[in-house]
Amino acid sequence: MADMKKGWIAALLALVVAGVAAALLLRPSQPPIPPALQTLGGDFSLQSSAGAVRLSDFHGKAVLVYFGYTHCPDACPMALGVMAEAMRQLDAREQEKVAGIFISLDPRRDTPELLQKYAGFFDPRILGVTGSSTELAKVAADWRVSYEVPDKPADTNYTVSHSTFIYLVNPAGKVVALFDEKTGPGEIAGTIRRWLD
Amino acid sequence: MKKMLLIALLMLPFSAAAAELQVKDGWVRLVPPVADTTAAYVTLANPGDAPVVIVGVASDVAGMAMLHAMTMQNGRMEMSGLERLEVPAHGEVSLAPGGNHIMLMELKHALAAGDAVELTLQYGDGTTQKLTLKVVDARGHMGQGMGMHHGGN
Repeated sequence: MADMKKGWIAALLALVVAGVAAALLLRPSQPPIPPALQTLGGDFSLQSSAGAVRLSDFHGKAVLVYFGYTHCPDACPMALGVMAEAMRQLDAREQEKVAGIFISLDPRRDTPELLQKYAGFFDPRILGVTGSSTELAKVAADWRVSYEVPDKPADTNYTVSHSTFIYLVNPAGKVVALFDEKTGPGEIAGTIRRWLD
Repeated sequence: MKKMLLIALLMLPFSAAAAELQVKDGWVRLVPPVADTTAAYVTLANPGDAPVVIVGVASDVAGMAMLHAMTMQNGRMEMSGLERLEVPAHGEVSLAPGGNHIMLMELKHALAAGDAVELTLQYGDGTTQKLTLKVVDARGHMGQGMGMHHGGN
């Protein structure tokens, strides 16, 4: 009789363990990376006001990355505002595990110092970086950013056309989702959360 | 009283002849103090029987102001200057985030939330109209001004 009771307890324990394991395996928190994004992105080294910044410096954090320029009056401030608000919607523990990078495609006008002040206005966790036009062309190709900076602008009021994706990079350094300046901050925060466990 | 009525009557033909648009939901985007470019948004309604054509815009706060069109081309957001923008008779035109807007370049000083920015619209018939728009901190509001209507964008 006592043996049978032990057997029941063992069976119950086994069920509980199996249940927990299944819950861990099947939890929706780490969704698959869409195939279209699997070959996109990658590490880079660009200049911030505090020195070189690599994407790999943020290993273990979810990173929102946006390409633009500071003379952009509409899409860029919208995107950075949405990124900042998405970060603020996370709880305190999650907020320690997020960062943002604003990459300027316009190094002629955007110095690392200017970029830091610009990006930091939206959230101190967003770093502003840029590089030489050759470095930027390489990063843009890896991240499939389409852009065009005029070669010989008539004055300093030129515009830069650019794709407007907000990339979410998971803590392992892979691009896992794309948003843009019209995405709701809540949707971005929700997606970040799923990659933060 | 009679005198005032006379003055009002004298003024009537002028105000009827000049293009006059009704201004709705106007605001200027708060940008970082280091930025020297921002955008102004507004919905302009034309209650008149004739179309009104905007051919230019100016502002005291900006060295250069112009109407900008935004289009997605080959996956890129392209901005280009708009030579003219027609507000049809009894119709309206919306300058809104993600679309056409008034670009304010070479800002002469940093703008703060709540600042009043004066803009002058120049019309095809040679007349002008002044509008005053408030600077709004729209960070995290998907670019929409706070308390603005969210439809029709």
